[in-house]
Amino acid sequence: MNLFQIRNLLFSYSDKNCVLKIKELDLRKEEIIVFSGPNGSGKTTFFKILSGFLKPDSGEIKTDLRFSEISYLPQEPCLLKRSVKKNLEYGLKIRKILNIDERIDHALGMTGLSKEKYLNRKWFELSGGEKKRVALSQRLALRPLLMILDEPSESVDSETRFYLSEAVKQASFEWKTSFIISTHDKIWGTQTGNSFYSMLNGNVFEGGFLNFIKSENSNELFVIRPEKITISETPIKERDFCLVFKGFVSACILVCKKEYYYCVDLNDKKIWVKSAGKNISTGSFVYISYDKNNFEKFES
Amino acid sequence: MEFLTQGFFDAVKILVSGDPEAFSAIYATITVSSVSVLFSAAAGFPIGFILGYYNFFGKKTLRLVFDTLLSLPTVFVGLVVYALITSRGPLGEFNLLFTLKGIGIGQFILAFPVIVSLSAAATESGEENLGLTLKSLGARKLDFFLSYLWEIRHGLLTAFLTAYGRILTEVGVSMMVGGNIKWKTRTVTTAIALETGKGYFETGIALGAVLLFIALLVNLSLVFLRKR
Repeated sequence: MNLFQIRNLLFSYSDKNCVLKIKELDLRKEEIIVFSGPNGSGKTTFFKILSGFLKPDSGEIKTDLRFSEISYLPQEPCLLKRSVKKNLEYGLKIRKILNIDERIDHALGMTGLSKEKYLNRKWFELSGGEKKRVALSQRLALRPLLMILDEPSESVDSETRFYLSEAVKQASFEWKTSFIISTHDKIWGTQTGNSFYSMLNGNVFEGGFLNFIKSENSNELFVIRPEKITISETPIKERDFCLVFKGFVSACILVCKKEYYYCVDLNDKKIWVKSAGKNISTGSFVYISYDKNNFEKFES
Repeated sequence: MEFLTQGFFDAVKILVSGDPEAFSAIYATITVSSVSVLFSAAAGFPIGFILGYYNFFGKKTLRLVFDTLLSLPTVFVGLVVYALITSRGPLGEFNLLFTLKGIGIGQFILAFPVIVSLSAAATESGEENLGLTLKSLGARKLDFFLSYLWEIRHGLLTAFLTAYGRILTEVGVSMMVGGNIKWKTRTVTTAIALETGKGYFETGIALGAVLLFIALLVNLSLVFLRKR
């Protein structure tokens, strides 16, 4: 079942720059979908369109969700100028939900905030991380069918990141809530999500560890998928159409309990490489090679 | 300098003794200013919100107009209102000249742009994602509007008090439209002008101090809105 079926979506803030151009994209229901991509790649704009806050210039978005069934958490969440309890009550009262106290307790617990300590605190008595957790609780209490979270793991400590991730997974498991999340933190993203996409220059690509390479001779951009790159601790022989680089492994991430992704630091860029097993340790020097024929050119 | 200290002693005397003439002016001042500012707030807050929140064609021009009207000279407003409500004016048949209602119309014109302009600024300076947050939590139409205003209440309170201060202390409209008629349209400010003209500086200063005291009471009564 599709959450969204998107075709030929275009959006621009002015006539000159098109910030979103998505040809074809199907997002599935009941998944935790994670989007990654550099700043300015169009994630926030895309999320605002999916939440119903912006209208695309053209294209088609098919969904059976209503506006009231979607809850959006902006990058810089804003709490209402009242206590934590009243912040959580606000949406529930507007939606005329009856078991308010029970929902508030449950939602606060999901983000690791104790009721006794936080319920009566005012908005200005909370740290940045606590504000994010309260803002997420505020939306979890509503139990929407879809939650769209814009960079929730940004500017928070590891403890807050952990609680945010756990709350997302619990809501997905308990209420079958679908999530669409953006993050720059690939480790947090892989720990939280189960479906991954990358964004660049308003384009969406399936897969969370894509490498975007700029051509040396022209301004063309290419995508290299991590599974198309060979990694070895011993030198790789150069061949025609094959580029070889030396770097060191700066991170290794296990995704969905079966795939390993290595982040190889070259001099000027990081390259993600997929491998079936974990046989290279972090910090090791490695050789990577990719075939020029495997470059996917994309028009931006 | 002696008349300054004497003025403050007289101010206390006026308030304690309950001088009927002074209290008639105080009553007229508070009544007409309060009603005018309440009408201005009721009309001005929604317009200020629309100007601050929405983007539409002509918004910048409208903002410029309201910002310019912040400097409206009170005597000029008095003159215009006088021309409108005098027996030969378009509103002459309503007999508003030399009445508190007439003063109220002039004070409304003075307070309205202050409320609109400052509440539009308060709306614009509200947190970036406030509107998005309220809508995301389910607020629609009236809920959204009222909740938004409540969230920017500190800015709106400043707008309200600034407008109230402007009309509480104005003399141009009260003098021209009200005519400074004893027991009827005399306000504290027109009484100060009269007493000073007669050379009774102490009484003028005493009435000025009383006006300041009224302003203090108004601010104190709204202090609960400043609470975080």
